[in-house]
Amino acid sequence: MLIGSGMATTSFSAGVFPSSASITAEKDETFTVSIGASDIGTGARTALTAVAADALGVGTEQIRIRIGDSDLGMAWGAGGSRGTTSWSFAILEAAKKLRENLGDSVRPVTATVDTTTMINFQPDRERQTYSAVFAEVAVDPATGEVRVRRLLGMFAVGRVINPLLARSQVIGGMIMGLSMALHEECLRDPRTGRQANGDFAGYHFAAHADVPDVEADFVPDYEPQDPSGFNGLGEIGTAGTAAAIANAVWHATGTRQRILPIRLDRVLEPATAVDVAGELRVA
Amino acid sequence: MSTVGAARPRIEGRLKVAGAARYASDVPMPELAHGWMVTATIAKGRIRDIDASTALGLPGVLGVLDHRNAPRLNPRAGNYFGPDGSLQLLQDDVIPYAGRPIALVVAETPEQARAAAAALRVTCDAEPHDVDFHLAHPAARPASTAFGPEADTGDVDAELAAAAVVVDERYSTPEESHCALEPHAATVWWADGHVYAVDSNQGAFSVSEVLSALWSIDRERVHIRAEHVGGGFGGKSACGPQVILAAMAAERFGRPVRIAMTRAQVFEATASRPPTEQLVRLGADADGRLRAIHHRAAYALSPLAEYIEWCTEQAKILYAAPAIRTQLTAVPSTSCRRPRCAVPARRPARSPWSRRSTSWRSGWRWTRWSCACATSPRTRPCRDCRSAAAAWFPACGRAHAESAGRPGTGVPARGARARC
Repeated sequence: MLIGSGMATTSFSAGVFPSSASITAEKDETFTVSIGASDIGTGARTALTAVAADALGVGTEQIRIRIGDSDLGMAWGAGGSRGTTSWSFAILEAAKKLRENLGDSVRPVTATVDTTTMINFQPDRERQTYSAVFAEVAVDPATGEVRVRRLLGMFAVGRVINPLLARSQVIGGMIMGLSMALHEECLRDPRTGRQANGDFAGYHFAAHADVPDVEADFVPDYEPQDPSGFNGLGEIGTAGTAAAIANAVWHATGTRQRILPIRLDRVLEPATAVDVAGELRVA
Repeated sequence: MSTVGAARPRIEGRLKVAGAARYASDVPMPELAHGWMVTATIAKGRIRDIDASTALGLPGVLGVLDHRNAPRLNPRAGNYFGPDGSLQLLQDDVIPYAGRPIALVVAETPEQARAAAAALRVTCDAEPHDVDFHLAHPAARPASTAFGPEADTGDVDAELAAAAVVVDERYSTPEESHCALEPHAATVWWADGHVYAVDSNQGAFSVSEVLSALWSIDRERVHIRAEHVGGGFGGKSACGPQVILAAMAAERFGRPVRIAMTRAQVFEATASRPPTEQLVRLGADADGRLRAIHHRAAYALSPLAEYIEWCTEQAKILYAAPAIRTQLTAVPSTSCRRPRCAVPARRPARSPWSRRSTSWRSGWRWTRWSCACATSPRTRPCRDCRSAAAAWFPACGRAHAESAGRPGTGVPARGARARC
């Protein structure tokens, strides 16, 4: 086995988009937080509950959160690494407004905000998250198979809301990057124009056996452009991982891989890489 | 103690591992009918005929929707960039890509719908397709600069000539599919002129906006729920074919309709990440300091809608070379099905929510104002939009509609531009 290690660093665009949020102080001392956020498996519901509890100065058990409904008002979607920052901004502003009214004993009382104006008049500055990803691979010189032995990602993504969920998410992103490096490609039949591998038998992506040792952690960070110091981390996990693995393959074999995925044939026959690129053009 | 920064398991975790979390195709619904998508098997051409006579005679079949009998949609409904042809399902006989939904069979059970879909006889006239993709493709054209201009600082050629080391390489990434665990699905019903959907998407509000535009109804009459979603990765950021087709069928047959895509349908009929080809030329001093970055990149573009695959962005912002030039190219291709959701770094210039966008360079400020309706970019702020606190398009749409005669739809009619 040829063993190699590689690393890559990158940044990823972060930011905030307008959203609206409502918070109701209920008669029973609980708070109902309504925001048109989406939890697509990221843990947004859990993260936003913590953000609301923090903003209201109460425990998470006093927060009832409602998301995933267009009737809850205008909100940015779960996309572009901007969901959590956009929704948190609106929840924070709604909590601020509600706390101003809490002196009054009338319950329930609701505060609703729309952050469009606030965000439109923020100064424009570059806003990025950062990563450094390290990979160790083993390459079988007989078969050309690349196995990732270890992956480590370090991330600067602002203040982390929930380290458990955040770690899961960037590890998921790194596995997606591994998949991008070694497995994934839609192959199109030039004769019919149809995808030839449009199912899970033909379209490969990383399974458990492909990811033996993946670790991720965060460096202390605070985003100065966000009222709570947050940044999005939806995509930064993926960015950089494929490059780290490609660099590790170079370290192991002495050959640069510039076409993804790094298939067995591309490792075995780098001299024909130009032909493979030609093949890719019809893919 | 602050609740932010504390490691907590997810609130709905127990529901999910116990199988109790209900996704879009799990919601119990009385009188539910099931839709089955029939997709194009050729990459380009026209539908000559769809013979449904056998299918309609099969058990449980309620009907077949195709371009001849489907409800008409508003052709100007769109995304961030403007009208989006990928939303215009069953509106004409054109086949723009392999996997395009061309008919929907509706039946009492999914099995009956599937069997009837297999019995549908579709004849098409194929036209030559072109799934070729590379930077020098004859159809290549400059990409949209809606997210900001290309970088063009310094003299790249002079810096490269003076560099001690030059790297000049070509990189390729393939088309990729999002492969979310939960295939796209929607359960849709109409009541009293309102449409309700439990849909698998990444943004219920934006789906409600697009659906209201497609049907030319108030957004307040569109109710989209997405309580649990099994992954998206950008592949569910748009208003998906499942919710559009199910809304058509529910309206036509007067019953709730569910569409749950198969894995194969997700691959062929939903968004994908386009392939890219990228040429990178770097020039550096002997000590490794960068003098020049020249990044030329191409991506495949759906012929149906504008989109930006923003692969040159890091070349613009991450490095301090004295000379940086980027050139992003779009290659319209029948290999590209639907646009993914493109996200600008800053506030969208033409989204319903905001009206200003600036460039990536603080020294160069690109300000563009547009009316909140996606079809009429302006160089000045729209008075109505700016004054509207909510600042999304019903406010503006009403202003348009005064001259267009479609009050409050948020859909400007042709010729309404002058008002904004």
